[in-house]
Formats: sequence, C-alpha cells, structure tokens
Amino acid sequence: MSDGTNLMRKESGIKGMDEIIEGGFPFPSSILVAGGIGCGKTIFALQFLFEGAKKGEQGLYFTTFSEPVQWMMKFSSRFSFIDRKLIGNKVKYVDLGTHLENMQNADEILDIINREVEKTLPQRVVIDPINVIKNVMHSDYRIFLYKLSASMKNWNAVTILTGEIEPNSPYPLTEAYTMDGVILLTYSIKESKGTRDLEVIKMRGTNHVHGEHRFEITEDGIVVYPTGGI
Amino acid sequence: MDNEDALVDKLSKELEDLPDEWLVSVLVDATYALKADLILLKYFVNRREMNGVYVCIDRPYSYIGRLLERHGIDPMKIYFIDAISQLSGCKPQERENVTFVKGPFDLTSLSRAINIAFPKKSEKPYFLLVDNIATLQLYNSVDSIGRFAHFVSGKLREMGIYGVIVMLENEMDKKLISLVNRFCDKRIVMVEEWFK
Repeated sequence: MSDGTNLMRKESGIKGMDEIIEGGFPFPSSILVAGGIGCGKTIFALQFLFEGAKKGEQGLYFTTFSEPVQWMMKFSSRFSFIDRKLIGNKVKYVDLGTHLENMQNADEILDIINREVEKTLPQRVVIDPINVIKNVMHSDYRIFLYKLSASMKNWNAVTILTGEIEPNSPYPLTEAYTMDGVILLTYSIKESKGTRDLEVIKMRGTNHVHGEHRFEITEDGIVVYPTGGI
Repeated sequence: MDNEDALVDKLSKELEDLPDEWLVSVLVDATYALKADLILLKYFVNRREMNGVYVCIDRPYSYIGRLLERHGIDPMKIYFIDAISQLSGCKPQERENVTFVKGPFDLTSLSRAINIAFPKKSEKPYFLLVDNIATLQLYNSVDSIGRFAHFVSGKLREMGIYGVIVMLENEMDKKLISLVNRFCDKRIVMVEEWFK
C-alpha cells in the first residue's frame, strides 16, 4: 500500500519561512498563528494571502471581532506585498463580526463560513482572530474548531487562524490541539533590544526546524531568518 | 461564473472527438481539485443535461451537494455514493439520492454500490464520476485499485455510460496512473495553465 507519493505544499509567502517547514504548509491544512499584541499575526496572514493571490490563487479573509476591514487595509497599505488590484477579486474580505453578534452555536457560524467558501473555492483562507469566537460560543468552541478544521480541509484550502495569547498561557491551547500546525510569534526584550522570534511548535506531516528563529517586520512584510538544523 | 462557463467550453472541445460513451481519466493539480469537479459536473449536468453517479472518495457528499447548489447545478440529478463520510466522523444523513459505503478501504461494497446505482434499461445517457482514486491508495494496494478501475471501466462499457476517473497529480503512484490510463479513451491533464 502507498500513502500517496508526495504531500503537496503551499508556499507560505513569508520570506525564510518555507525553509523551516520543508517548503511550505501541507495542502490542505489548518494552521494556528499565535502571538501577543503587535507581534505580526495579521501581517503574517495578509502576506500569506497576497503572495498566493499573486500566483493566481484565490484568497478569503474573515475578520471576526477585529478592526473593520477598511482600517486594517489602511494600516497595512505600507507593505509592498499589498496589491490593491487584487482586493475584492483574488483576495476577498468577509466581516464575520456582524454575523457573530447574532449567533450562538457552532453550526450557524460554520454555515456562514462554508457559504462564503463555496462561492469562490479559495485555496487560502484566513480567520483573524479565531479565539474571540470562544466568547460567543462557550461550551461548543472545541467542537467548532474541530469541525472548522475538517471543513476547511474538505474545501481544499490552507487556512491560517490567528490566535491571541492569554496571560500565563504559552499559546492558545484549545486551538493548538485542534489544528494541524502551530506557529508562535513572540516579541521580547533581549539585551535591551526588542527582538521578534518565530517558533514552529507543531506542523503535521512536516519535519520542521525546531527552536526559535529571529524575524523582522520590514516594508516587504515578515522576513524570517532560519537558525539551526532539523 | 463566466470563467466556469469558459472552462466547460474548453472541456467540451477536449471531449468532442471521442466516440460516444467514452471513459476519460483526469489528472488534476490538487490546488484545483474542487474547481475541476465543478467543471466536470457542469459539463455533464448543465451542458449535456445528463443524470449521473458521483463517487465521493475524497470529501463527504454534503460538501459537493452544497457546492453544486451554489454554482447552479441541480444536485438531485446526481446520485451520490459516499465512501468517506462515515470514516471522517460526519454523521451520514440519509437522503434519497445518497448511498453510504463504510470507507475507501471497502472496494467490494464500493463496486457493489456502483453496480446497482444505474437503471438497468434507459434511453437516456448517464455518467459516472469517481473522485478521486488517489485517496484509495491510503487503504488499498495498487493492484486492488487497478482491479477496481478495471471493474469500473467494464461496467461503464457494458452499460454504455460516460465516465471520468479523477486522479490527483501529485498524490498518484505512477504505476497506478498508467494502469488507469490503459482503460481510458483519453487522458486530460488539468494543471494551473488549464484553468487560466
């Protein structure tokens, strides 16, 4: 019996990132990008979408309870990877927040997400941020995440979910358990200097490079500097 | 939608020189697997006005059903044989036009379901779409899948049914690709360029 020959991968669009994860994210898969405030989660997600869109792939960006799309786009427009011509066609935005206010259970929210995905069949999906949905759903949240991850893979997409880290937690645990990959972005003061590090905690089907990798946020977006070997 | 219609035109052109009741293999880039399904089903159901059978090996039928409704294809014109819902933990919802098979490992039940899915006598042409046999490799040997493909091709020829066997380009064993292609009248490759 064969396990299929090759696991297909989608390039992350983040310079230096693919060297850490054997060439890209497994396709399809659901990846959690977690971090504290201002560590670059949204930039990571946007770069992933826009770099895919430049290659002709369809992208879909769901905002939850975050800033309105127009504000986020204004703040992001300084990055060279943002191509305004792609917005609205190859990169579509959906504001989930307005729907979430009136919903309580997992299936209703999944239905909204599925309906949007069905329209355009995106290869790249972002939900930013995911863990605020927990406040809406309470006990159903883990089931929701499980169903969401399965559903997005059935729709043949790599899905990036951004997750905010709560105090005293290394990363969002419930989300981390249910996703195929977990990437942690951190900002810390080392030797009186602010430094940014990226760590791949988990990436199913991938022999990823362990440990922290320094990264910068430049005008071209996130640039990762891989360190060490597998 | 315009792009989809243009792609259906493109597919029609590729198939127009084939004899009736053809069987083709479609080798598709995984990135465009769902799009390929959509184009194939639009071709059969909307363009050729056929009813047919869709064998779901890769994703539960409920996803395909949703997709069809969204893109203007009547799902009631398709009978689904779903070999993945039970295995992937989805609750099989009994529907008039769906049969569930335990899993892609159960090729005997899958063959039996195909065997009884078509009406014995019909004036109308039918189609069968098997999507995608690369997933069968996870549970079955190449030889078993080869025998299954042989059964499918024999059944289609015997009953005069149009057929498509979908294979994911990067996941298929090369030996299996050539085995399947041996039973087919044409091989269509749908990679990135095809969809532009």
